[in-house]
Amino acid sequence: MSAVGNIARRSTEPLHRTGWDFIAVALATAVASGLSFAYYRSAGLLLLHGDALSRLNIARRVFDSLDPGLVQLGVIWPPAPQVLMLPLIWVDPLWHSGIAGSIPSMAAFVGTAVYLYALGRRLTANKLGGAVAWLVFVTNPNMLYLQAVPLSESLMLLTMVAAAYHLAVWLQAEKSFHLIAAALWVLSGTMTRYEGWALVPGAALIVTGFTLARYRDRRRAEALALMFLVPAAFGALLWLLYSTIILGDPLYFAHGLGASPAQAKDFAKNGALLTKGSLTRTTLTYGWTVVDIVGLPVLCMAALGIVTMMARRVPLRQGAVVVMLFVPALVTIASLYFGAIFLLDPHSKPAAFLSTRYGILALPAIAIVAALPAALHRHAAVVLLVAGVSFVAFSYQLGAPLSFHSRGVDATSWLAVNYPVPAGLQPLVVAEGLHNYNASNVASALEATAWFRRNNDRRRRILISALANDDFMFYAGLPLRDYVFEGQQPYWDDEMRAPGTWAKWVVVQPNGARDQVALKALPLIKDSPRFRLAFENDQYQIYELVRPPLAPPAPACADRQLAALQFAGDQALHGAGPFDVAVAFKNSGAQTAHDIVLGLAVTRGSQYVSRIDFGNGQPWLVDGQPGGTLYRVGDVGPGGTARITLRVAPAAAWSAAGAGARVAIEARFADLSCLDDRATATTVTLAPASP
Amino acid sequence: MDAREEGLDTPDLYRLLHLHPDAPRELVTEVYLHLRARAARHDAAGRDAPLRELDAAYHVLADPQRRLAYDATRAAPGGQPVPPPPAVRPDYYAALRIAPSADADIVEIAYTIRSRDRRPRAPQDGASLADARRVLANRHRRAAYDAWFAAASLDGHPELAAARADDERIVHAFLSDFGLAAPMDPPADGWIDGVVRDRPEPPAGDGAGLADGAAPRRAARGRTRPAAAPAPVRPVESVGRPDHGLARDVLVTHSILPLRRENGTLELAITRPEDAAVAHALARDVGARARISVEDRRVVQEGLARLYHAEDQREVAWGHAERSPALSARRVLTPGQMIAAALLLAALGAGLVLALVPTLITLVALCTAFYLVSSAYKMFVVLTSLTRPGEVPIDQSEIDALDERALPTYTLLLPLYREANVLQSLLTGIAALDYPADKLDVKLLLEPDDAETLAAVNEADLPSFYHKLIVPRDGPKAKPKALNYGLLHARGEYCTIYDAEDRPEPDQLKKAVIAFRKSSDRVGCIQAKLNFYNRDQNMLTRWFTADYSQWFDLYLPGLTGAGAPIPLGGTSNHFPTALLREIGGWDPYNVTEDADLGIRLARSGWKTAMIDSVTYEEANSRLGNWLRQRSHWIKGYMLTWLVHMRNPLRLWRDLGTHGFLSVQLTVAGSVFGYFANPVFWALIAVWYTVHWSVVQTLYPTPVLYLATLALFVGNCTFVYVAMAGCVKREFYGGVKYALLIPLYWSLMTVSAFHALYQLVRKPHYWEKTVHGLAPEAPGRLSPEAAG
Repeated sequence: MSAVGNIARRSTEPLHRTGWDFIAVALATAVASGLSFAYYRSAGLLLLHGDALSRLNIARRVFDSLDPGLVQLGVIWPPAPQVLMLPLIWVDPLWHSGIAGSIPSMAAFVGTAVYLYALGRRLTANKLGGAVAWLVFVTNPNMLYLQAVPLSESLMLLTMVAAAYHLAVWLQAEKSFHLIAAALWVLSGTMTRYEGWALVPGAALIVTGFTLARYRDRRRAEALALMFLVPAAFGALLWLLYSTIILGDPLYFAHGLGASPAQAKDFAKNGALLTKGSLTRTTLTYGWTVVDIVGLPVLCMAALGIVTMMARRVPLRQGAVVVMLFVPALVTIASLYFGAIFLLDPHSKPAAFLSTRYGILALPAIAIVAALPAALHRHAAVVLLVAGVSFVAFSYQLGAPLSFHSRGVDATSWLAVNYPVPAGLQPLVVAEGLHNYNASNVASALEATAWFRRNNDRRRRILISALANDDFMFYAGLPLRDYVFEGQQPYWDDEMRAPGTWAKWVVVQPNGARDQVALKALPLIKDSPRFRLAFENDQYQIYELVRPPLAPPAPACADRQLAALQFAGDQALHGAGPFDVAVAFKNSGAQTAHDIVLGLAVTRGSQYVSRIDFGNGQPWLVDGQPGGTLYRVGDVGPGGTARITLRVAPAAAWSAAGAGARVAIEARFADLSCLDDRATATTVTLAPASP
Repeated sequence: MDAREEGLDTPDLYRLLHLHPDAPRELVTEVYLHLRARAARHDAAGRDAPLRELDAAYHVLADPQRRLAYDATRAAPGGQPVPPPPAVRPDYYAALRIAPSADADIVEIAYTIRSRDRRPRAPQDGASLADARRVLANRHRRAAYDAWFAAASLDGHPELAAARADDERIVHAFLSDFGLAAPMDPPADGWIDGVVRDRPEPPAGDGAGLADGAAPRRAARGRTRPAAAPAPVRPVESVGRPDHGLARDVLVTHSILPLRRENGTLELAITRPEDAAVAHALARDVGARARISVEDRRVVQEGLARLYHAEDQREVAWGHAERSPALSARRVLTPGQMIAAALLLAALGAGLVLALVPTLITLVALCTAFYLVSSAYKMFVVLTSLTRPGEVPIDQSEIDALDERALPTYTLLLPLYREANVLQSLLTGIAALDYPADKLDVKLLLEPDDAETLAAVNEADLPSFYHKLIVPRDGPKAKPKALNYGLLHARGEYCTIYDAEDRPEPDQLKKAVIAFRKSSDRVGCIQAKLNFYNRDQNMLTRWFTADYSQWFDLYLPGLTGAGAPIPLGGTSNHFPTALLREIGGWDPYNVTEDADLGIRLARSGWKTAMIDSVTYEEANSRLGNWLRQRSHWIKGYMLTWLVHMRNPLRLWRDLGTHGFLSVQLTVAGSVFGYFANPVFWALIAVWYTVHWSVVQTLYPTPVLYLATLALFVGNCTFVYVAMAGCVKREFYGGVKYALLIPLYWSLMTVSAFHALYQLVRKPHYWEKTVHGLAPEAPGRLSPEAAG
């Protein structure tokens, strides 16, 4: 019986029904998943990759931040993996151990295995086919590691395999339900990794092509393509819209700070991005990565599967689903070629490890192709053969780092010092993690965090660049709401303009290419007498604020400023109030000023103790926070003055601030075209209430 | 053994072999061999004679000499000549040389052998062999043919009169089911004579005039049949008062008109001879002796309408409101509801005055939450319809297997008001229905002030199963009142409603019958799907089609699948007539009487199922007309919700939690959406264009998340559901237009405000929708009206 015959004859069976085999597959996978997790957890290897720490921190920031909310998910990475961490990330131990992210990964792994089994079974019309695909997938040691850690690969594989499965069912049965299910899984894929975006046109082409070929009806093909595309592309479109609204740039993820392409640019600067523009290097690099990740024996089986597919002429639509599974891998190759991402494999030049886990995206497709010969032979011997091959592949993988070692890549020395595990027996992605863990500055980070934990005894606010210092923030173990970092408005902007406005500490990597504090604020800090360098090692500098800020720096938006304001001067107030405070403004700019917004805050030293609202007039928003009052002063021409008498009612926080506290009155023009046009502040000194 | 053979002393040898006396020898041999093989296999199941008799028959008929001799004795048993065969044209049995008792196998054998026969055709072979085979090999066609054949040959051939006995037995069994067991023997005065005497002469050369009931279905269709001269309606002196003590439903079902009662004799007019037994039973029940005459059906129906006119006038207008005032929309708000509304408004007003911002935030949050919950429910329902739709699965083989003789009588209620222009299209649609004409009871429900339609109906050439009813003037002038009137006069076991512009798929009635037979006893309504025949006429009709497709092809099957009450669609809902009468018919004061009835059915514990049969209507193609129609529906939904929410606890008890919530989310939820959409869209537009800070104040972070979800996921899901509806209905061209359906929702909002205005000002006013604007609809107003 030919494969075609098998497929044609058996495909009408209700193969999608859940039976004991699905339950067995799920249980076996869950056991493998649990064992692997237990092993890597006991070895302390769950958090080897910097991205894992970043993802955990991003999820954590949704709850634990100066500015909590979903906006903390950012746009650098699609949000799904981090969103799935939310239910557990708020529990401190689950955050620090990474388990909050491991659990969704493991669940996705089990789901992927079940879907892969179902797909293999459907494509080969043989349970054995499903079993082979499943076995290849579940015994892959790299996969077993990646499913245990808080990374996005496991989830990505689930979305693409599930989408491929439902598409395969739809191609056979044409039930709308499966088309919609496939579209929703593709939608999940786009929300998991950017590689998933390529599934949208890939699967849409299959849907359109199939409908056109079968019905020769353009309207029908167009309708079904829309039925697929509307949900499938929905997430990506919304993501672009979101990026536009939040950051004013729909493609921020592609060229914003911290995005892969931006990092790849850094590589290019150093001449390390050899794959860009070179098809040979790209193919070799990715090819070697796949060989190292999947293992040569399995690839040989897959080659046999491809031959089977060609020779027996598997129906085009079955082939299409297999091709669709390869799409994310193809996207990775294209991204390498165009220099949008970077990937280094020990077998290619330069021999090193970086992002080798991209190779795992090819695993499901290879597992399915490797299962295709099962359409021809339905003997248990095949299973034994596959089991044997998988075992060989497994051993090959475990031994791989040793061979890397001989090529001059030090994957093991750091591990040998720090972990009591047989270092040579690690799969590629673990070896990479270990290698980079060692090569990166974890030791420095640990040293810095240790010093910092000792000296930050009063838990004061810290200025840091989260883009470059996820590891510091993770190891320091402090609540993330203690930090001021990128995107937290207004604190971040205030700090960039006047370091020390909010923060007591500044943690910076002076040579960090991505460290925004180093790039933007370090000169201000270094030269300022208000800061002293409290700690320094080969990577980190930690500055401490020792004196209150002087006059704030000139508005950053000076060139766009409509007018400048000057206050009349300081006033001293005595007693419990309320006080009438006369404030005079002078327009020292060259243009007419309009209405003025006043904000009032209690300061003590350089710290804001509180912000107090005036409590009269219309509430107005200062940087999105209620805190100012709009005063209508009419038009004030250049050189003109305006006077306002404020009735200031001291609030509890004011009194509690005690002697020496000051009330800062800030003013800005109501014209919000330039957000940085905050005017000079005047201060009203508080004296203790007279008896 | 065939009933027609009983009573014969010596078996007829031809009959044993199911053959015609003219059967050629070759046919005799083939059929004998076939029957013998079958008898040997013992699978004849009592159809054939024993082996021994077959052998004997063949022994005689296969030998020309013996056969000649046998034919001679057969021709004159006791010296009497066999009467000539009935002059029935076409006689397919004779053409194939077989007896009417022959089964399909023998038909095939006979056809094969007769086709080989190259000799010139005999004069009795009027029918082509192919026709004969086509009719006789298919048991449904054959059943219809047999019925006609039996009737056509009844008078001429006593041998076939046996078939009549069969029919009588069926009638008897039917009456027994009704608890009206009537004596099989005719009463002393002999009604058969009465039939023969009173029956109008059949039009010459037209077999259809012989018996209404036995006329082949095809002959009754307007297209193929020459116009039947309308029977003169003779004035009938009826009893005059409906207090004769006779059960009205029996009178109506059997079309029996009480004429007068004198000295213990009740004079009754019937329309079909087989109803005589019922008439006798009726008379006996009131202690009278029946004197029966047969009248034309129209005469009897006219008489019944006149007899019950006064009673009906009251019943259709006020019956529902008087019997169940709590469920009548005659009163829009009850005092309790008024107080509740006043309290709610007062609380809102106080909130706005005392704490403006928190009150507004609460309002925004509540609206957003309700919108989200109803969106989620809608998604659940659509998912249900994709995975386990509440549709009774019916395939063609089941329809083919229906015995048309055993089909129930079906009443079609057709309310007409100012529909003269689409009348012809309606008649065409009804004529296309695949249902035996003698089992149809079509009620044209006409309004007394609608001279135009009345004239058109009078001029139209209506088949005999049409019945014109002029709806009493009293009470609200509305479709439900007309339907109630039709229901009072419905003869059918089942009834359904079609609007004037409807074109139901021909198999719909049969599908409904099968669906009732297949589904549980608690199914009280079968709803067919509605869609449009002019979907591509313009943008509005495309959107309307997308809207209808998602409603009827996704949403309603999902609701029924989930076991929730469904607001019925305006037409093509099929009911058991008795149940509908028991429930109390339609509320004449509710302008969406269909949605109201759906909920009332559910409240009484009845379920509704769907069938995959479509009634095509005319989509409103003009904006003004569409807005009026839609505002009418929205007003009706509001009325229905108010009526059923008079006692929310009671509603909860009646429907259960799921049913209760479903009514809130489908009836109130959809209306709410029309009003909420513009407000929230405007808030978002304001926020994104001018960044008005008040908008931000109204949306604290959690509310903002919910609102974002509602805006993107909720709205987009609804757009997608509309697209999915188009695909389900295979309206592929409409999918891309469905992407723009939010514009259509904006139109709904306009209607909704108009509806709200009307609910306050004239809650029971019936917005008339103009039909006949589609180019496809024949009989439109004028060429320019189609624009």
